[in-house]
Amino acid sequence: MSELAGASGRAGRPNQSETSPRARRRRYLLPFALVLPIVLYEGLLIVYPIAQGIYGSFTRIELASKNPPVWVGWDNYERMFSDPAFWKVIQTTLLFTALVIVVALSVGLFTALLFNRPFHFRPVARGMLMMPWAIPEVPVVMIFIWILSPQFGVVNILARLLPGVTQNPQWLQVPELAMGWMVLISSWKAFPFYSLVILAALQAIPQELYEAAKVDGANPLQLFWRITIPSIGTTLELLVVLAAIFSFKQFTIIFLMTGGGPSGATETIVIRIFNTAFRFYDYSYATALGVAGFVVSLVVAFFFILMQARRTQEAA
Amino acid sequence: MSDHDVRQQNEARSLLNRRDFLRNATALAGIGLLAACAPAGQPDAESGSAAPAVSTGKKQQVRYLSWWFDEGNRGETWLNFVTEFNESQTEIEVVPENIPFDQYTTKTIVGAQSGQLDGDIIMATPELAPRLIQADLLVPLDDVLTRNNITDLSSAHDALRKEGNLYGLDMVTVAFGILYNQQRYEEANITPAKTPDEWVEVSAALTNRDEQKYGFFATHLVSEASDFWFQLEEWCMPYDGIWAEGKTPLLTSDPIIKGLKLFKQMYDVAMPQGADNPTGYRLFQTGAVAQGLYVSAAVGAFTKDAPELYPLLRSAPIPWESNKSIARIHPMMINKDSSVIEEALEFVTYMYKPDNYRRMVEGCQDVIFAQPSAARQEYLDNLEWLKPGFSGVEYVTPFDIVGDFVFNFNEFGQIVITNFADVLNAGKSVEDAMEVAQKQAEELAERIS
Repeated sequence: MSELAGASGRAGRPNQSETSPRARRRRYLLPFALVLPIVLYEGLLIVYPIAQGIYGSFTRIELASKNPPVWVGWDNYERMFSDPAFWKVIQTTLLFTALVIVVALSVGLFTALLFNRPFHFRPVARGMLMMPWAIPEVPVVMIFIWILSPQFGVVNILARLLPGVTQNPQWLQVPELAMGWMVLISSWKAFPFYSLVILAALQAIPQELYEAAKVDGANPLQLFWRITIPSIGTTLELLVVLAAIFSFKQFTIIFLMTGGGPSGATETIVIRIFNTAFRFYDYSYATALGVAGFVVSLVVAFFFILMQARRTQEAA
Repeated sequence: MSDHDVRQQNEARSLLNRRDFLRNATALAGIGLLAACAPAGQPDAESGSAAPAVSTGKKQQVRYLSWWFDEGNRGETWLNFVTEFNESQTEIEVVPENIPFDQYTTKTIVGAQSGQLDGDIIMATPELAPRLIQADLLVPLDDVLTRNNITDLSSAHDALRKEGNLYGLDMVTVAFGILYNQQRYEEANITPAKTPDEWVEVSAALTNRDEQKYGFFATHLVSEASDFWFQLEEWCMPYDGIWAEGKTPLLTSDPIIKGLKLFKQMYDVAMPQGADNPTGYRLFQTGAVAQGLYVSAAVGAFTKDAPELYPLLRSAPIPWESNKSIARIHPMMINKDSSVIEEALEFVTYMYKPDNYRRMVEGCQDVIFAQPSAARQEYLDNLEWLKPGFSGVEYVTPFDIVGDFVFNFNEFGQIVITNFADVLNAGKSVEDAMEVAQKQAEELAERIS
């Protein structure tokens, strides 16, 4: 007791050394010193390249040329906004992003609901559910290229069962089909993660809520819409934002399978940036496109922050 | 010792530790920052070119960058030569580094832009070479000719000269020709075509999609951009066209439109549509594809990749009146910023000794000799597929067909293939697609001028 009293007394009354100007200065500087490494890291490896990219978008750079970069002001942006191909790319990006969000989250929610129920070998099944997410993207691409091969692909066997299909379809050569497959493969790759997060949220819902609702005569659909969805609403909102960010920056699957084709049908902004920089070697225009992509990402992030702020306000 | 004393000591130790930690962390961060900001240890080009490597008992390593070390007999031949050279040297060791062809140009150009080429010895494509020469990134190689008494170097090297100096030495010239599977021709009772129209007919006759038999294959996917353009560039030849003259693109010219329409016809009647390059190659190996426009350098690879097919390979005569085809020169070059220029020169000199050069060309089963006097008629006579498709043809180079766009060959090609893909997949007419491509190419010309 006396120890505790002494301790609390000491804590409440700072000694002389802690109140000296040097100690105060040290205490004041400590937080800055602690964040210094991360600020340096962020500054050198994230902020500086972004700033360099923004600066590059106002210049004209010719790769492997002796000419130094030339300041061209807003030229690259004027070119971008007047380029119909840019608006098509934005349209394709938004369409792809929206479709992946809908498909991946719907499948993720469905499988989470399924795995929330007890059944035999559930742990094994849960492990298998995670496989698409765990496999690296490049082998996934190779597997799907074979599955969709117009000459050897197994999916042709299923397609030929459909009425009117006499030839193996050109899965990645028809614009609409190619976009469909990009959405499906990206969703297939991503849904286990969403499923796992939703499952965790589902398991946090108190069972008493369901039992009380059942006593009041609620049917399964009403349980789902009135209890389950509101209870996991925050998680779903977060996942929508995450899915938007992940699908927005999807590169490997699209680039390796279609390269943005056919006819630009799957050319999202990241593919466009890569092609502009490393196929057309139009480096400065690519940086302008990169800035545009950055702004879109910022809007999504801002939307998320706004949403969180609103929720905090509501909770308060 | 009182509690107060103990506490003071602990406090002091704790403060000392924290201070030490912060001091050390700041010092480390500072050192890291200085190291990051310090200029890279770039070798002094002048001293590098003047001073030979100092003998330290350890061999000086020369990095030799290329895309061909895993290409069948070509890779094997080159690796054997590297071993042979290394064994003959006490102070030099050549280290081969493979970079996939599709990434090679991009990697090199981006490296050049960052201020320094990677590697000491660099292989180049016909389009990459002038770009590097123009940017003053290479070492003159005239000395190699002097040391080896070579006086009959092919005229294709003229494009590799600047201000009287020679900056590249051809290690393989590849020429396009029509290669076919003799068995498939005999089964269908077909003789090689003599005109573009006959070629379409022959290819259609060799095709039966239900049985997965195809008359022809060429790369046609935008996801394989480099390979697609690599093959499509030949399609200006059937009607004797060129893609550009000087800075003026000629994508809407009659020969180009006709050539691309011919490709579309072949795509419609004879090609395994949607097949990627490895699939097309595999289909040719198994006999499912009967013919293709192959470069001579690729034929040798079949001895290893498809030994059953190789004896069946024959070349068809060029089925267009001009009898022209494209030959692509691939020079070996030395990086001006290398710290082992003399050692690198030693290897290039070794490879260009007429006897070594001949052994290398024969090992790779190539057929065009940059040193004509090194060619052995007996070797050429034994290649059954050589005549008539790869012999007696009038060859032109990429420099002749793309004008000033040779310095921006990939960008130009990307414009052509992305628009032409609309013809293959989106039902656009060749004329409409090339009109768009023409405008884009004109914009490119304006940008690079």
